[in-house]
Amino acid sequence: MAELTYREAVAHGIAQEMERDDRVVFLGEDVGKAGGVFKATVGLYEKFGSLRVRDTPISEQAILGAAMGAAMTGLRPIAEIMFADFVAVCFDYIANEMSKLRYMSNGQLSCPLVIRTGNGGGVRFGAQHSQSVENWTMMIPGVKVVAPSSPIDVVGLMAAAVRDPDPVIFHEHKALYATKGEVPDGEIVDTLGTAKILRSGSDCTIAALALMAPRALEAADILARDHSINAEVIDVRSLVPLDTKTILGSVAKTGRLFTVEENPRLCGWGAEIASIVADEAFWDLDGPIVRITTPHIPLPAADHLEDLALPSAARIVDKVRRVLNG
Amino acid sequence: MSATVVMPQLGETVAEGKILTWFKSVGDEIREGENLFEVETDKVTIDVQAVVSGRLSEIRVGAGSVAKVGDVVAVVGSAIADRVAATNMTKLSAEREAFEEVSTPIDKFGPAKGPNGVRVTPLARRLIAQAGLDLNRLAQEARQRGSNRIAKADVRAATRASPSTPAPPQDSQKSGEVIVLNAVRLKTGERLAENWRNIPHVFQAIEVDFTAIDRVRRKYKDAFQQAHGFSLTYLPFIARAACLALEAFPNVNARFDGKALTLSPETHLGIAVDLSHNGLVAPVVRDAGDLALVGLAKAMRRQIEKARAGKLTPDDLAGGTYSISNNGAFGTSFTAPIINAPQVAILSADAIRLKPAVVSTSEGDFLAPRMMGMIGQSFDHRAFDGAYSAAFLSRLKQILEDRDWGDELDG
Repeated sequence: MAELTYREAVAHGIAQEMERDDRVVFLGEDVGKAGGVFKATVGLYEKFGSLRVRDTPISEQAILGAAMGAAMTGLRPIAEIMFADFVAVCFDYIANEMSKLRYMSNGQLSCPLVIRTGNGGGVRFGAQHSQSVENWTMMIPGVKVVAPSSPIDVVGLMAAAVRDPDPVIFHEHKALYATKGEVPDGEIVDTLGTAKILRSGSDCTIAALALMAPRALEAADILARDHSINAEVIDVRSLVPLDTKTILGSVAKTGRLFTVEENPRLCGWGAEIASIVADEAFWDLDGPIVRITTPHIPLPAADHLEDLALPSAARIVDKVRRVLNG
Repeated sequence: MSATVVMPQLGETVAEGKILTWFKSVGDEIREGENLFEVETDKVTIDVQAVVSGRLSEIRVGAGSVAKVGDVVAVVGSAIADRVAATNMTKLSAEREAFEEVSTPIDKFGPAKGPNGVRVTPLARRLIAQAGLDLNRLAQEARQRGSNRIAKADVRAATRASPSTPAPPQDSQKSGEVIVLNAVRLKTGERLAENWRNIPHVFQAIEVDFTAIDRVRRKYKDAFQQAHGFSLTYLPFIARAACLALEAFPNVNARFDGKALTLSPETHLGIAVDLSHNGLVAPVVRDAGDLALVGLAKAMRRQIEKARAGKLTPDDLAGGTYSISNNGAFGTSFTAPIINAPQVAILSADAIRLKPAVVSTSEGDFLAPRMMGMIGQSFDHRAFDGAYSAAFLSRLKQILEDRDWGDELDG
C-alpha cells in the first residue's frame, strides 16, 4: 500500500498496463522527456523508452490520427490531449471516425485506444483551458467516457480503459492532480460502467463525479453534522456506460436526487441522469430532482469569479438544506 | 441471455402473492429447481423454484412486498448478459428492448393534488395508494400544520398512527386475550367474507341412510387398511356419489361469473381441510369424476395429507369445480358452508350415527336403529333454483343408499 497523488496514479496506471502488454504505447505533446505539462507522466519515457513513449508535434489531429491508425493495426495506444478543451480541435476523429469504425466496418476493424485528457476548472486557466467537457464526449454513440475522482480509481479505470476493445475517453481532473489517496500494491483493474457509493445515506442522493465527488462528500459531512441530513453520495465515475442501477437503487432508497456537475447547465450530464430517473423512478421521487451546476457561461479566470461559478461544498450544502427543509 | 422471474399463477382466483423470504441474494448463483423465494397467497405459503440457472442479478420485489401474478419479481442473468447490460447506457433490466421508450404511467396512484390544493409527491402518492390511506384526511392534516405538501415522511407518520391491525375494542373486554390472526387465517377470512357478501346462499339438507355403506365398510375395512395403509371412511363414498350425481345435474358442476353459467365437462373436486383450527384450504382432486371409489379415496387422502403437511402447491388449489366440506368428526348434525366462488355449490357432510328410523318393508313399517346422516348443500341462487338443488340432493341420497358399493370394492 502506498499513498500516491492523483498525478502519480496516472503514471502508475499507464506503467501497469505498459508492463503487462507490449502493444500499449503512449503518445502526446511533451508527455515523454518533459513528463507531461501536468507532470502526470513522469518516468514513463525513462522506463519504456522513446519507441513506446512518444512526443508528438503540437497537433491534436495528428495525435488522434496516429493513435487511431496504431489501434487499427494492432497496438493499444494511449493518447494525451493536454487540455480537454482541445478535443474540439480533433473532434472529427472522436465523433466521426474512431467511434464509428467498428460499426461501419461491420466489426472487421476496431479501435482499442484511450484518450486521456486534463479536464475541468478551478485552477485559473481561463475560459479555453478550464472547461468540463465530459458532456461533449458522452453524447457520441461509439465511445465510452470515464472521469475518476481518486488515485485508486485512476489506476483501476485506466487499466479497464486500456483493456477495453473500443475507444475510451479518460477525463482526468486538473484540480485533482495534487490530491492524495491510498493505492494498494499489485495489479488493480476496475470495471467501466460502475458507479461507487462513497457515502451511504437515507435522506437524499447526491450524484457527482471527478472534482465534484470530493466536494459532494464534504458537503454531505456538513449536512449530517449541522443539519441532520443524511445524504448518500454516489461517484458516477463512468458516464458511458452509465451505472443506472446504482443511481436508481439509491433514489429508490432516499426518494430525492441532487446532481452536482461542473458542466455548464445546458445539456450537462446531470440532465441526462435527471431524465432517466424521472422516467424510471418517478414513483420513487419524493420531490423534484435538483441539479447543481456551473452556470451557462464561459468560465472566468479571476480567482473569486471562478470559485463562484463552480459548485462548491458550501453551495451544495445550502441548496440541499433549503430544498429538503423548505 | 437473462431471464425474468415472475410471480407464478398461484391458483385461478388468486391475483397476487406476498413474498415472505428470498432464499438467494443478488449476485448469488442459482440452479434450476432450487428454491428461490417463499410466497404467501390467500390460501397457502409455498416455495417457488428457479426455472433457469444463472446469477441472480436483480430482485425487484423484496421480502414483505406484494406482487401481482405475472409481475417480474427478479432477473436472472448469465455472465454474458450482465456484460451486455453494463454496456447499454440506459438499460435498467435485461429484458428491455433496444428501442423501447420508457413511459411512466401518470395516473397510476391517485392525483398529484389533494382536495384542498395540497401537492402530493409521486412517492407519497404511491405510498398512500399502497397503504390504502385516506388522502382527504392527510390533506386536512397537512393544512392544519400549515403545509401545502404531502411527502414520504407524512405518509409514514400516518401509517404509524393507524396500524393495519386494529386495536381490540377497549370498552368491553379490557383484560381479554388478543388473538392476532395468522396470514392464512386472515386471507381465508377475507375470501369467505367476500363470497358471503356477494353470493345469495341457499342451504338445503337431506337425511341419508348410510346403513348399507356402513355394512360394506365393515366388510372391507381390514382388507382396505392392509392394501392401502389407511382406513376407509364415509367421505370417499359421499364424494363418489356426488360425482355420479353431478353427471345428471351439470348445472351444479359449473362456474358462475355473475352473468353466465359455464358448465364444466370435468369434475375437479375441492376437499375442504381444516388446518388444526388455523385456517382452511381446499385442495383439488383432479378429474375426480373419472375415479372409482378406491382411486378417489386414495387421491383424496393424498391431497389431505399434503394440506396438513403444508406442502400444497398452487396447482393443488386451482381449478376446483365443486367442493365438499366434511364436518362429521365432532358430531354436528348439519353445517351450512360458504360457497367457494366461482363455483356455484358446496356439499357438506356431518356426523353419521345410529338413530331410530322408520324402515318400510313389504311386511310393514318398522322402527329400526340405522346409520343416519345429513347431507347438505349451499348453492348460489343466481345459478339455479331450489328445486334443481333438491333434485340433485335427492339423486345423491339415492346413489348413497342404493348403489352396489361392494362391486366397486371387489375389484
